[in-house]
Amino acid sequence: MDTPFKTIIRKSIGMGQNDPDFDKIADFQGPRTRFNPLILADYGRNIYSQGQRIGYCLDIRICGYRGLPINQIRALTFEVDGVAIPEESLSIWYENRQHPFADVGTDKIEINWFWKYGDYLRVFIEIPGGIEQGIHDVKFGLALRDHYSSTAYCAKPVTIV
Amino acid sequence: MRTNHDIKLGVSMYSYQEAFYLRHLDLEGCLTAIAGAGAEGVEIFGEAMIRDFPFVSDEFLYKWFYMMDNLQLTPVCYEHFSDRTFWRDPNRYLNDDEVFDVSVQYIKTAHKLGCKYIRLSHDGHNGMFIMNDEPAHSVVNAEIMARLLPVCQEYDVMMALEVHAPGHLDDGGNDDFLEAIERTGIPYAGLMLDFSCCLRDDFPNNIKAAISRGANPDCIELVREYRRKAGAFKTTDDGEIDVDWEEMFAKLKAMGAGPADMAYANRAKGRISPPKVIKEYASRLCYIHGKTNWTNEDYTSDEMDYPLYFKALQEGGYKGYISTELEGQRVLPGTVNEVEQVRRHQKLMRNCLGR
Repeated sequence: MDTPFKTIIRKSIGMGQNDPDFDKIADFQGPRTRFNPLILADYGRNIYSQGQRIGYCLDIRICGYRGLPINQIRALTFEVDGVAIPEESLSIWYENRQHPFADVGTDKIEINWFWKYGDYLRVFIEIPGGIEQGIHDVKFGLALRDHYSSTAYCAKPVTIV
Repeated sequence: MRTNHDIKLGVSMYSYQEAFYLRHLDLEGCLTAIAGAGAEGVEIFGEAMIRDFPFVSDEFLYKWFYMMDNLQLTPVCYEHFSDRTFWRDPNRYLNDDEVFDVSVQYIKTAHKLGCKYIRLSHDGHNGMFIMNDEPAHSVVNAEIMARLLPVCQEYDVMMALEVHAPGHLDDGGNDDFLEAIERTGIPYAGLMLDFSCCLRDDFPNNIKAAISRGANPDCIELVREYRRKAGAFKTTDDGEIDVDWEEMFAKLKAMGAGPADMAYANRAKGRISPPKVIKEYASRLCYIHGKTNWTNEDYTSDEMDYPLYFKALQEGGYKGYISTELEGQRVLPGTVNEVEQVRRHQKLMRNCLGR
């Protein structure tokens, strides 16, 4: 094996190339992203601290057919009742750990910490006062930095308690 | 049910991805479904079904082998993945040495699970095409695979190089891998067919999805007619498949086809591997994914001419497993009964094999 193997130059299908930033819901509404109502739970909850609401949580599941390292979450994009949620207000709560979303994809999270297939991962949206109990229109886009550059989108009413 | 047939039937648990995801079935439930469908081989995804992935515990293995024995199933294939991108920084990704190390772990796990194959995530998956040609999105290249061959030999695990549409067995898109196997002289990797190369027609959920995206049902039917004609493999005097795609596009235009129709039509006119190619390669294949999106209630398939291809595989001397890989659930989540679809697909394949 003294000479290197020849490498075939293959024609790119372009999956994941020239994608948008997925920082707004409209980026998930193109033909590449599949609508999947299963990635978002029907119920969410306010989070209280000493009787005061400090934000609320939505529970999400991975798309595709396998679990992936948390670090492979590229974007969690939400629009609640027509209002875009800033990424800075998001934290992930999973397996007794909490991280601001800014930690995802950095060395603050080890690459073999997996978001297990079918598990709900809780997303905390920090907003003083939380949200009114009731039914809210939630749009959710999920983008992953896996081999397939997977994306999924869902829009549904979510009951927040 | 274990058999001594040359062609054995299995099920990839990819087929039950939604039932598992929604917790309708756990691992034991999926394996019970495989046994109930009359299959004998099992393909497993660590990332989905092994809770401690990337590790596999002794407790898991104890239960795994108990279930294999109790259900009279055989572990066949462990799915391998080799993503490189784990960081926000797009310039940071695993190098070839790290992909090699990750892959060795898969080979060892396959060995522990009793699987004789791993379906290798490799750059020849789509033949002469690649999903994304950026270096960060390369998976296992021929050089890495060559380094893995001695490891596979040590653990007696074969790397199955899956060829999936739009790639084809005869398109030359795996020549670098085949050369690497030949040069090392270690025969622990081989070509694997996915039935996606042989599909000649669409399936109900995909048609519904196309219509929901704005496609005209009449345009869809026209495209399906041409696609089925291509799948009949009637040839002209020049040996070309006797389908005039330009004529189809002219008819679509006359029907007032819109972007959704044209997108549907463009996807449909891809090449279909003819049975003669499958027959030619059959004896060199080490494993087959029986990709299926939909099997009819009467155990027939619109999307693939099963009797024709099974005849080709038998005449070509294929020996090994064909594992059902149901994918039709992914188009419209929550609408397909995966257990019933796998059951029908297994019966369809048994019918073709005269069992």
